[in-house]
Amino acid sequence: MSKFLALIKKEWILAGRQKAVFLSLLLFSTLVILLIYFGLEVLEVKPKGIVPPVIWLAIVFGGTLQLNRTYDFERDEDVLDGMRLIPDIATQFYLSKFAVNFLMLAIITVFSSFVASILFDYPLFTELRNIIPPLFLGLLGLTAVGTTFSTMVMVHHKRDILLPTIFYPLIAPLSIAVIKSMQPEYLDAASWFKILLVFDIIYVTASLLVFDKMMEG
Amino acid sequence: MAKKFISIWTIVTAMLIAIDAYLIAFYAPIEINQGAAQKIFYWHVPSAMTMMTFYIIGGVASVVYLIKKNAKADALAVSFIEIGFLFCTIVLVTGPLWAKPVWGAWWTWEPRLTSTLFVWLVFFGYFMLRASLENKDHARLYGSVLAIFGCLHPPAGFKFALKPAGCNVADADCFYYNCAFTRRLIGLFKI
Repeated sequence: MSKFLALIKKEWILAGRQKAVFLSLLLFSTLVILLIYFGLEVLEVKPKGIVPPVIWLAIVFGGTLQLNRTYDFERDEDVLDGMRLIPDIATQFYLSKFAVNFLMLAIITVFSSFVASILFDYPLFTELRNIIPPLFLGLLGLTAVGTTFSTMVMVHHKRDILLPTIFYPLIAPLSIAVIKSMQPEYLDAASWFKILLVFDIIYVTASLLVFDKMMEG
Repeated sequence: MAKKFISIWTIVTAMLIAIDAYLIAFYAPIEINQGAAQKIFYWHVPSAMTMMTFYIIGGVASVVYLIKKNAKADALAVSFIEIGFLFCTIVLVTGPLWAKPVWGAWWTWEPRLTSTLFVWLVFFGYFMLRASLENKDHARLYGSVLAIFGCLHPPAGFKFALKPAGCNVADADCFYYNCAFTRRLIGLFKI
């Protein structure tokens, strides 16, 4: 537990040093929402159901940039090799990275939700009950897979291209489940919420199981 | 010896494909409701079954590689996934060819078709990842991880086994399909 807390503290300090980069992530998410809005300008009245997908897309695109930066500090000077020398560190190391990524993505989520609600005139506070549980589960799955996959592309100089290529197809069904379960007017929202739960169980469990082996490599 | 075997095997396979094509075109009767388009099924369905089988074996071989770090297991995984990918491509080409005359659209976002597309994209990424990593050990390790995630891709894994008989496949948001899918998937986890 003390190792985990030390790792969390390390991650927190490192995240604190990159406030400017994080602000640009928020700006990027805002730009995604703006571009979607202009793309939908042909619709004079924006249906309420458009907003949850817009929020989720802003999270996915902004989140991908954050996930790509997961190992920015470990990449140089063989920090990861040093981590490998510490016994039984893999799971705690993964969980510390997961926790920080989850927090960052959660901030992007809150910010994007506010921006989308203002631009699309969406009753955010009355819809909170419907959108918070799917968004929470969606973020869990997205962060679990994203943290694992960012390990794979960490040393690759084209990781900005490679991560979305391997990451998006895998989270596409998760995205469908998040978007459909955020809309209670959709008949099958409850079923999609259960599917979302199953996705999370599979992705989190698989990520925890394979990360030990990835650290050995 | 191996080269000779491969040459003979190639000739036998080519002959079997030619005989198969002849039987599909001239021997098999034309189905009343769907017409000649139904004949695509003779390629589409076996390709889908082969794809699933090869991906599952490739996924199991990837798990073996991850546990044992045995290069032979990785070679086996890549081989099976390559063939699975080829058959997945055949499924994605023949599916719309059948759908256009029968459903009136090339692409309908039908759950099985959509999940097959996702699986194709995941394994396209698998080959890109392997090709782009210069360190062979990294390529094997990370390729195995991606293959395992690809095979765990739930809708792909369960889509054939779980589709209930009463589901109208023409409906992209097939309500009963999703209900039954979820119910059984949750049931599977309870077991």
